[in-house]
Amino acid sequence: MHVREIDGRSLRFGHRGWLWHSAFVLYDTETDSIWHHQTGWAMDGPLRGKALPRYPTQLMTWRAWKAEHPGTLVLPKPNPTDPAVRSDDYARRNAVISYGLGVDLPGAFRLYPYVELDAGPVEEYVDGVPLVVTLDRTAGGAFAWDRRVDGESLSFEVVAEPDARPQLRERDGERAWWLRSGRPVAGTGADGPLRAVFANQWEVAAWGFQHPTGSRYPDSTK
Amino acid sequence: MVPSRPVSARRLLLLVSCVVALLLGALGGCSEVSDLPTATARPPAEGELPSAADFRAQLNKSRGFRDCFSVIRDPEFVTADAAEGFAGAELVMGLDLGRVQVAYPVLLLNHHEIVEHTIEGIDLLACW
Repeated sequence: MHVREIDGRSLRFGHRGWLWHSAFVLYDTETDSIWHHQTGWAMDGPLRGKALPRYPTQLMTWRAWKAEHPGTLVLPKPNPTDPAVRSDDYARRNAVISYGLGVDLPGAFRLYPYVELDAGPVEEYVDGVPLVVTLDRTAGGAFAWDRRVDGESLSFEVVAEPDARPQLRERDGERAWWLRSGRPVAGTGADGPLRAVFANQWEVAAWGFQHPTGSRYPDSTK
Repeated sequence: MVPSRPVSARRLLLLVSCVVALLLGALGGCSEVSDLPTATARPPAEGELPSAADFRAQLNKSRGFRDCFSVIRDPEFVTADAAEGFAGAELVMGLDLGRVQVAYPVLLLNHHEIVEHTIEGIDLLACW
């Protein structure tokens, strides 16, 4: 999710219709610069090298998102009965593609292939940031959080009971956070949300082309 | 009328301190209303951006044309209860800004790939 503002100017964008290593690129209507839709980088044109500010987002099922955020707003489907918005045109394609969670830090890119996350949560330092990365197939997504709480780097275990929202519970402690939202679980002593690390789902192959300086778990981060 | 005792400097200081502490406590309580998080830019570092020539050479221009996907601009959002045609298992891209959350259905994003809107005064660009 980007903030479409550069140097104090609010930009408008359109779809350029081109792909760069499987990722579509956009153009801004003011300068016709070409932008990467996921990194928010201007790849060509007068604004080349600029980067849009961005917010982390989470990908998960509608059911899981509503459970985490019951007061959420939603982008409605203009015609809810239209089959085009009730089924996934890319389902067959996506079924044969390997995906991972690409973490994007100021000094490093790192990919966590979902097949590697199936073994359980990963805790490690990347670019000096203590991360916990988990795959939640029930929710349909993976999540990356900064493990620092009040200046201390915590270690977590996943607590997932049937029909309940999974939690990240600190080892040797009582505090817990909801795994899918990073928000504190009331009554556990947790105070304040975990900080989301900027991360997106990527096709594993495409990620490699687009992050030549990145590393891939479980390889070394260096 | 009983003459009042003069207030000592020490008692006056204590009274002022209590008032200040109460005010600071009230102000601290106001921070429970969460501020919006700050969006951060992550510019490309040395070696991370291909040369303009390489980028242009690597573009695949065979799959579409300008504006082949129509951008959803400034739509109206609804509450979860008012959202129609959503299956529990379908995916959404979710944005949590602390005091407001927004979900974007992937099944709709598949057909537009870009959404522009403003929320809490922030001009957003959602891409899928």
